[in-house]
Amino acid sequence: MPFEAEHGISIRLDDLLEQRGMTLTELADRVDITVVNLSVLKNGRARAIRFSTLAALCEALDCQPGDLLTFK
Amino acid sequence: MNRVGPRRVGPSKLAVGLYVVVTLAFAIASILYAIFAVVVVYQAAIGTLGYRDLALTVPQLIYGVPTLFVLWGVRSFARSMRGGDPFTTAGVRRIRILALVFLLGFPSVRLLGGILFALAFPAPHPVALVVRSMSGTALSGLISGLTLFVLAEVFAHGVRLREDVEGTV
Repeated sequence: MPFEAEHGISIRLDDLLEQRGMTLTELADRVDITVVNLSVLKNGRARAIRFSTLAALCEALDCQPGDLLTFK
Repeated sequence: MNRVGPRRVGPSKLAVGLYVVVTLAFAIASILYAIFAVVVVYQAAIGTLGYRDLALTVPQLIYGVPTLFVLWGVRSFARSMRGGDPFTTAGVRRIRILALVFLLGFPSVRLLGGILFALAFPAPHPVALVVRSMSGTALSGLISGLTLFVLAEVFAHGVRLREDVEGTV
């Protein structure tokens, strides 16, 4: 069972990357997070996200946390 | 910015040193018990060991089994520490098994030794003799075993925390 089914949180990283015309590797370079960890986040397999990671992603993608996270 | 996500923390020098010391202790104890066993078997074969000698010697020899088992378990645990990854379910299981060895293994061997001693050296109160011979080991085994069971639960909690951290990005 995927993690998002348990906690109901999903990450809209794919949509934001597409809107910004950015690849996962480019984002990884910008926020200094490994591509593996970004993939974990993108595929909804992360259990938690640090504020520092969230802030770095928001800065790199020029968005707000609410644009990145949704709750179903 | 610091790299985020799970990362592996390397072992301390003390952990590496402990692994070396425990490995040496296991090797030395194994050699000593092997020599002891060969001597006992040889003496028994040539008939220089009477049944009373055997009653005293055999339990000491059997005592080597839990002793080597504990040293092997501690060595495995020290190796997982050296590898920087001690908080695993296998590690928790290993500590629980060691706890059982202290709780039951050592006192059982002492009980066997006491029974053999009582049979070889008849005394007015053989049961008291057996109880007296194993009470010290049973008490220290109880303390050590319970301590290890508590440590196992601490490690089990560590494993759960680790699993949680591994999912944090």
